[in-house]
Amino acid sequence: MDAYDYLFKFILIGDSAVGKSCILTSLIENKFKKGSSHTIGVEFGSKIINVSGKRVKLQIWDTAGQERYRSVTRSYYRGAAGALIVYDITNRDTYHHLINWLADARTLARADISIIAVGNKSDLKDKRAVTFLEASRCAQENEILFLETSALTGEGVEEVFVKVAKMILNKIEDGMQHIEEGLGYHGLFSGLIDPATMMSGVHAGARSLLNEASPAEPASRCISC
Amino acid sequence: MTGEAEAVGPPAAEYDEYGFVVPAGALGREIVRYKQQFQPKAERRVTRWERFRRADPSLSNRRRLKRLVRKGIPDSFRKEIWAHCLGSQRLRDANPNKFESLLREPLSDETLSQIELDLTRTFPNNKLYKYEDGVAKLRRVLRAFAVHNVRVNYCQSLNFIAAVLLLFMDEELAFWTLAQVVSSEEGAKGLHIDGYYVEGMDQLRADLRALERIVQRKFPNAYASLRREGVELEWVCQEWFHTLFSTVLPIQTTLRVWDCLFLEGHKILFRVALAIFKENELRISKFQSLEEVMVSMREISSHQVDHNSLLKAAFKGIGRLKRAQIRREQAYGERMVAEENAAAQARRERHNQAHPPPPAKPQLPALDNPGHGEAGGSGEESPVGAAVREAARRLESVIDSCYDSILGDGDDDVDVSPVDGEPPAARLPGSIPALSPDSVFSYLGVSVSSMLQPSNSSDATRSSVNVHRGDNALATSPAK
Repeated sequence: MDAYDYLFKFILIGDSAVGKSCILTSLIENKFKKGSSHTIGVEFGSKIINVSGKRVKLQIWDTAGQERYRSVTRSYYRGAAGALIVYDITNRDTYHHLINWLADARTLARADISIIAVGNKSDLKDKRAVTFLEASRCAQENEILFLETSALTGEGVEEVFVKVAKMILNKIEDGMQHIEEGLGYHGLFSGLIDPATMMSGVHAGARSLLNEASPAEPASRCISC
Repeated sequence: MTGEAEAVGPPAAEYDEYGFVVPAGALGREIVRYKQQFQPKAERRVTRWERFRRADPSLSNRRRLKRLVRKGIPDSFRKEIWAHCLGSQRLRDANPNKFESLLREPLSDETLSQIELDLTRTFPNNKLYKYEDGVAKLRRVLRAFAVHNVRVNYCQSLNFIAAVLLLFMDEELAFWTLAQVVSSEEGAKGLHIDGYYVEGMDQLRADLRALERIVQRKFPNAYASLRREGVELEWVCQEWFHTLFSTVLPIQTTLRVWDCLFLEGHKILFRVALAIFKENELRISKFQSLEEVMVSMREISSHQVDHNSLLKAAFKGIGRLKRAQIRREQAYGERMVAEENAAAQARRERHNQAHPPPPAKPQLPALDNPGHGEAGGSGEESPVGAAVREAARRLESVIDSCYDSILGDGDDDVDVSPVDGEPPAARLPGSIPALSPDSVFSYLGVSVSSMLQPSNSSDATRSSVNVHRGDNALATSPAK
């Protein structure tokens, strides 16, 4: 029952009240958690999902969003393979802060962390303040994935997790190839991206990797800029 | 006793005496059962307290007070005794119009909006906070506090503490009590925990390190079990200290803890945390996975229904715990936190140098919200700041075009059709691929070195970092 092929640690970050905990509840319990308290320290959830025929166990850490909690949430980033940076499509400020969260994720987690920007509350169409296109471009410029979700209806929620997991799996498979080609274990994770040349590392590694690994997944291509 | 009957739930048992929804299922049944079992003791305590109040109206016999408080303050005495123990009644008497005048003071948009966001997310399971009346009280207490305590302002967690105080007190007394709980302006009373709620939360983190060392010493098996599964103690215990247990223990137990906490001080936080480990040592020692640790620790704290037993463990079961020992461990914790902060700072600096992200739209000012700048601490924009911002904006479009020229057709890589009438982003003419860093700088019309001049303004310093990043990005992008 509990068997899985891979285990990935994910973190859910982003401003206060954008719906991080609701996304987690939506994923794990398939329902919308109405009338709950905000997160203080950390909420934890885990789920096994199927990604490209593999059983992937996700350990998801859901953090407090208030700016001041950043120093205490630091320790949750350690070793995270995936990060969901959530903003509220009805609140531009939360979108503007995406870039700060991105810097946190890239500084505090492993160098090869796979990141997705998540525009939540997509059900609130009338109140939309951030367009799909601009967020998509922003994600592209910052070399991260992007999707919109509604924790209320559940739309897009599982896809977000699957998408990031798929990206991590691709990196792993690429790392395996490196090993087979005699490049050594170094290529498996950390070698994909050299922290010293982070920019070029991501460009070269990620693009070739994603283009050949998932041609049928057009959304993934938005990281390939 | 059948599960079915309880699951439907008689309306009378829906809320407890404090207005909280009684939890569904076994936990709710346990709470109701324990309350009935505790009832005779509770009644005896009321009688004893009445006698004590008559005999000693000024509460001068501290030893007797302490003994009674440890056995639990009856609900009808809580307001008075808490206010006495913390000195908040005296503060209120000494500052008769302060609360009202604080409410007339302005607060930043950021603070106001964070408070608003949290009001409806503070004990939504309590009757008082289901309605605007209760929410408005909480709003006023938090706003007054944010003006009053400039350093702390508003921090999540304070809302829960204020909300519990408001179950017993009027707004003004709740405000003064909150002020005393956090920063202890009156005498030697209060908890002196400002540092739990300020930027960085260094004091909270140091205390959690201190707790970790004591847990490790007193309950080595339980501690080893957490570590074996890769769990940091602070992940489990941060919320315990931050909300003074109010979001993790059943309300009846929280109140017993607060009785002692408000009289005896900060040390009680340690005693109660250790008591939770003590009461559940065996179970904790047998955890077999990270999931189990995280899920069960939450369950364990929410199931501390037998408050008498927990308090007994806190004062007897865990053995000796001297203030000097806590202070020693706190000093150790402070050193650790200082090291962590230095390491984090260094990492940030390394990151900024080694990994300059392309300047992106979110860096731009929020034109639709002029008040935001003030809240963000960059009220007056310096000329340098403005130049940098303009440069960043131009850089952005340069880089946009670079991407496009590298990728060929710029629209190809976006997997969406244009929506919401979004205008196309500014593009530079097709000369971009030929750009050299020099020509880009001249296009920008600014000298980078002139912007990197040292400046007193922290805003300008931050901006110059952005320019530096832009500089790097430019230097690498066209080279590809």
